[in-house]
Amino acid sequence: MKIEFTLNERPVSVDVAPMARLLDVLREDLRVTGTKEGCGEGECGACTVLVDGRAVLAADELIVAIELPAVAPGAYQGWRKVGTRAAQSISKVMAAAVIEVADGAIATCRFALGAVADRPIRVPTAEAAALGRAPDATTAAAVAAATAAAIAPIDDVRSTAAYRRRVAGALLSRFVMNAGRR
Amino acid sequence: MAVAPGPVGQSVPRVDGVAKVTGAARYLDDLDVPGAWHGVTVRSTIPHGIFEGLDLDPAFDWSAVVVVTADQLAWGAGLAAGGLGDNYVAMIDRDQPALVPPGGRITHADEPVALIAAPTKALAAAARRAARPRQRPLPPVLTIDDALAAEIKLYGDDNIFKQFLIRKGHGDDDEFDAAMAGAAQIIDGTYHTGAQEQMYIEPQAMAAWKDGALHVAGSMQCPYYVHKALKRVLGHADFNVVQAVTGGGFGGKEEYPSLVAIHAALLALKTGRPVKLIYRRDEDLRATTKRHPMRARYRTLVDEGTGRLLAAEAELLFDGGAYNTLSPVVNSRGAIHALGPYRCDHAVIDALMVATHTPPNGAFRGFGAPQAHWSAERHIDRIARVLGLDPLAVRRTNMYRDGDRTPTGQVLRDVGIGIVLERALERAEKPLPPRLAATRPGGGGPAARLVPSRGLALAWHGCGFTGNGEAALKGKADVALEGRDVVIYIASTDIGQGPETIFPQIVAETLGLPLARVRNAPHDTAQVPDSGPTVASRTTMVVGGVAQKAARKLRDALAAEVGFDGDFDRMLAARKSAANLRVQAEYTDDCSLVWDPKTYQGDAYPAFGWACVIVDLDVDADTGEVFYRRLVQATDVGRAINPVLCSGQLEGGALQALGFATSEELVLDAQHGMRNNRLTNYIIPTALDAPEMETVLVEIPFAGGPFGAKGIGEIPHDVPHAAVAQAIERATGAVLDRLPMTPERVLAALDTAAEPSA
Repeated sequence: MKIEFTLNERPVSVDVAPMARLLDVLREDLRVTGTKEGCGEGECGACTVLVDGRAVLAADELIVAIELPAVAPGAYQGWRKVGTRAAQSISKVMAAAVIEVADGAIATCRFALGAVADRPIRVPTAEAAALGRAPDATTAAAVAAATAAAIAPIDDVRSTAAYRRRVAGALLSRFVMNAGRR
Repeated sequence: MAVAPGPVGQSVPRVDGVAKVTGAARYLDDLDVPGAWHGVTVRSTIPHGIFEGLDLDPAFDWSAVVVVTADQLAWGAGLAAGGLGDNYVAMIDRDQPALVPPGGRITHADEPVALIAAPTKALAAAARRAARPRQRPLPPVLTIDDALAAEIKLYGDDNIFKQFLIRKGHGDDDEFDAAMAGAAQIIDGTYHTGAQEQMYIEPQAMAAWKDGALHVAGSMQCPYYVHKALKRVLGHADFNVVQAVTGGGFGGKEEYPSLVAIHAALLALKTGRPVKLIYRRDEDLRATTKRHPMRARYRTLVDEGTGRLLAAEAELLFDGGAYNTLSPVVNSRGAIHALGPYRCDHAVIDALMVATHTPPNGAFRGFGAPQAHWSAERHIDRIARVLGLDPLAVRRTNMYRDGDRTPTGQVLRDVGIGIVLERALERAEKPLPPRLAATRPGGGGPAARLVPSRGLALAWHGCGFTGNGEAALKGKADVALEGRDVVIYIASTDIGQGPETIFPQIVAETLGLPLARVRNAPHDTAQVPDSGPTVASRTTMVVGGVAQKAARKLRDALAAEVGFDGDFDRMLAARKSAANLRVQAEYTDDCSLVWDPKTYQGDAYPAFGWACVIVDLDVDADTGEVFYRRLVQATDVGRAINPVLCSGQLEGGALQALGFATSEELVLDAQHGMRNNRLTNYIIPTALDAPEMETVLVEIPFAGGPFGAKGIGEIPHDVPHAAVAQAIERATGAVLDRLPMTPERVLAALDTAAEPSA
């Protein structure tokens, strides 16, 4: 199919196969070689293309909005990605929590984990272990124990099941303690 | 010293900088090679066995592509008979075949067994999927212990590529054994390092084409290594090798490109067309060389009051992988640096390089020294721990002083370790930068158990080739007057470290010319002499010195021509001829080094660099993660020809070492191939992970280097990982003697930790 666009401030017209990668069209057909294939999976950024001055993803990868329920004013929120690099890598474990404390006790709480199952999960047994209790070390330990019992993570190239089990519990415990310290 | 009038010592912008940041620089894949076909490599899928032949899927149309197996080639027939030379990759040994022939032995997973070229990338990839090696598996040797057991023999009778034994003082006699046997306390430690990927910017890439003669161009550090290997395989020397723009090498573009060049040349000859052979990243990660994994055991006798080293026994075991490559030299450098920058009067160092059925390990920045320093520095920390002493005090007690002898018996002069230590400590007194909240994605308050800490480590690094290596090699450089400009002809390549800029600085300064009138010629074996390889922290110090000598010869030749010696441009104006004037200089040993390669005694290096690294970090005691805050390094560079480029080398090397410390780990599959062969899963640090860098250039000039310069390419990778381990131990009591210190290992070590020492 034939497409026309402006490339580096000059109009171009090129006949491309529908499944052709933009990278190959730019490099092979149009001989614009400043754009490189570095890792072959969009990880290193050497293939980044600017459209109208902004780095873009492919059309089917574009997330335009995410809608979430509002968190109650004053509720504690904690979240962490755990890994060996700050960005551009898949986490070993992820954890998030929303905790409301009223009159010294946990009134509501939601605990979520990533990379410990085949999808992001809530941990209802850990939430149950926290509800109605004081946000203290005893509750934190109960949350860690309930978390470890509730999940069945795997060993893979990024981490071990044992590490994920332990750290998932440790992070939720941390959130409970932090909620209590406020 | 008076301020230099010329460009030396100035941070002039790098010559290749603008082209690289704007994308105008042409890497191999960017070059127009009209009519080029695309090459791919068919690889083994087992670590050990017999390659019985190549199965070609009958459903695929093989008429559109060209397939090459080693049995189709006329090896040993020579050019006159229309054939080739020998089927091996010429390096230190002859053990690695260019292509395993049918009936031949597969010695590691992902070993090349066939080559395919096709007019398009897509067709080449489809052909590779349709070609399957038929393999008869044999039991493999996968670990150092399996190799030493030698039940399966892969190299010689004992699977040992190379052994070096260095003895000092009573290390030579029975008194040593008696003292060790009779000691009340021997401090005994075992230390491990993992493999590491160089992660150069572009994957391995080579092109070959014929227009009368054969031409080979590609991504490489050492054009003459490639030339030597091609000459052996082709059986003639009627070809040239040109370096394309190369974005980083770190050793990964040292010896491996020889194999890629051979394959590209074989495909070009077989197809009669130009061929580009470019590895995919996942293929590159699985198939190419890594840093040698090491296991070391240190046993030392020390003075219990001070921690002074009295006698030491160090055994270093390196995994060389399936072929010798450059492993003997890595073993050598590891052995010589085994005790770190510390004096020990009685020592036995025994370093072994073993063979296993795994992809060959090879050159990597530091060449065995980062592994050896890891054991040396961890062992000093162990001595401090066992004796209840301050690790810094034990370092101060033991570090070299002028007149001390190294394990090879070399008498040290101008020892810089004390100076770099004090300069680093001074700089580390500056307040730490505020902790960046964005260092790790997260929110909701910090961990209660986020523990700040600091670690320190010391390094020394021999510059240039070991012993009589440089004298034997006789690296050459030409300098030529061409019109009003001066052109430098060297085989030393720019792989990001700066010779395109630094060599013109050295020559312009020597001749009193403006920098704009001096440049490097392309690194093409048809044009440049053999300066030796771009390795071993030798380019500026050794080849730069030869180029300086050539520049002086040019001035002398010009003076002789015009009949007087004076200002360069005045001599130029007095010339009657417009002909180019080109001279050559060659390395000569002006340091009177005495070296015995048999006993490994004598002057191992013409000069040593010295470094101190101080790392500030936080340990998350809930997750085992380490967050870097600041890295201070003070390094003796001899003389910084270009301070910004020099600091850049030191900072980049240190960041690479932090990756080695905590994040870079090869996860292996059952065939001992790399399972995490993607940039998503093999975790190198990014700019977000980098600490604030404070770099102090200490200049203790080396008389044998140009303007006093020493080699600095490798020393920054020698000890940051050891400083990190010390910091983790101080913060948490967790003792880590194995690299990398992943969160999983840190957490496991925390479980068995004693109370932190500070």
